[in-house]
Amino acid sequence: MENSKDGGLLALIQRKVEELIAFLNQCKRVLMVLRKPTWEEYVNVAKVTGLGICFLGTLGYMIHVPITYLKGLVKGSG
Amino acid sequence: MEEFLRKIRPILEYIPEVKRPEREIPFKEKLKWTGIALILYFIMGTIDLYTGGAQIPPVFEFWQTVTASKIGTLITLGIGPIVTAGIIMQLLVGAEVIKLDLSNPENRALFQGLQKLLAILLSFFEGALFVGAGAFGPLSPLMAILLILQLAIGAILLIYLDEVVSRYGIGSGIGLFIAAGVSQTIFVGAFGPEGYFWKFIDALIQGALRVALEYILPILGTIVVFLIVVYAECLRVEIPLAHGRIRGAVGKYPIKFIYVSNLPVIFTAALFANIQLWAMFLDKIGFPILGRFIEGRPVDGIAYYFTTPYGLSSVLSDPIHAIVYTILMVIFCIIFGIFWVETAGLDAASMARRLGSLNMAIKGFRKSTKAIEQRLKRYIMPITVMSSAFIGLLAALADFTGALGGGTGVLLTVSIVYRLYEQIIQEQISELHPILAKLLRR
Repeated sequence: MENSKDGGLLALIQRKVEELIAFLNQCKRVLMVLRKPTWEEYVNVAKVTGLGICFLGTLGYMIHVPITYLKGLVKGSG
Repeated sequence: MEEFLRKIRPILEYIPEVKRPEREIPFKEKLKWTGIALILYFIMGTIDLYTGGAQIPPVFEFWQTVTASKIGTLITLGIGPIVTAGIIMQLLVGAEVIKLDLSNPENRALFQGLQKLLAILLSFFEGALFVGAGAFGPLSPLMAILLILQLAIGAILLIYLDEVVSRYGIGSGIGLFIAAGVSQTIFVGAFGPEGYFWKFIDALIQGALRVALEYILPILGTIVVFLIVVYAECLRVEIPLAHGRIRGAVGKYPIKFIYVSNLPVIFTAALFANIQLWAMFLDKIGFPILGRFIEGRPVDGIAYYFTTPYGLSSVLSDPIHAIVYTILMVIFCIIFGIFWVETAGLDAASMARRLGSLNMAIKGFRKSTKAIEQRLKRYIMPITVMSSAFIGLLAALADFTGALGGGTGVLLTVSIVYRLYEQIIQEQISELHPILAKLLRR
């Protein structure tokens, strides 16, 4: 009874390891079909996201800074 | 589980919600609604809470990035309750604790209704946690209740603002607020009244180079993280859908390498923030089981390892903490990534169905979704695990650079802004030539 339980355990570990190796192979296959962006594509995305962040950032800046300044005055004199 | 949902269905119907649009909203109007929500979000960020003079100890920055919040203002909780509710639902449904087949729309509506109810309850609960954790110092009971109410109202307003954006605007409210919050932090942090950029120049003028370096590093960190994340965002995996017998891949199906979008990172970062909030609360009321705090900084227990070591100095001071944090970040991103793929219908089966329904005529490929599904299954799971692990690692390393708005913040903002751009393009196409849009809608 004893060794069959060990045997079972060993088989389980064995299977787990095989599954892991199979999974890693799948990962390797994915990496092989990975396509890196061309420079032009990269610059395009960088420009787009950069502009988007600058827009959000300046809008937030324009709302935050003046009001904080005013609050400072009010709290100061209040 | 289904009957439980049946039973609480009347309650879910009772919660007020933003009216669903009857007709297709023109693109211009969607842009207008998104703009309104954005400006309202920023304005709410300037309305200070009435704290009866209580001072706010500056120890809650960890909460601000991922919950798009501003401590001390109406949106101190930010989208914390919404995201925390999302985490709980993800874990319950993902781990099959709640057996809910999300493909049928009726269950999906119940799922969203339950998530919203949970978010509203959490608004009050997290407000109490904040007050209990000493965010406003010692308070009289009346003042505490008044503060919890203000915090809850602010969070609930954001819940409905998020719904407005999701139904009438472009993209999701959560994404918009996080991107807006981080972008604002970057600009105000760099060019604001005590902006790092001005301090950098002053230090340069006075010739104090070491000090100047200290001020310019966060700005450089932000730019470096931005450039790396943009590169990661462009990576595509082209799944060859060719039939074995035909040499050479005939059909290529490009999938973004960052396949799981950024919700797993949002959930992971929000989970870490919640753990720290809980730890602070427990420490305050005398049961430091999650860790003890000294002036708001965790010194031991699991809370210590769940905090983000911002900036190189903190990483160098305790590298073990940084390594453990990175490993935790990767593990949780993978867990949430896998759950997200199932609940959001990005798994191989639904993907194949969509491909099949697009009657993707792939030469030599029997147009049975089963065949496509088999092929996709071999790719989707590895991509999910790898991209989740990759984002988790990237987010952790980005945090170490001490970038303005936090490395994770910049990472999220870049992918959110890019997704918004993609959706704007998609909207414009469907406006100009609807037939093409139907084909393109993957």
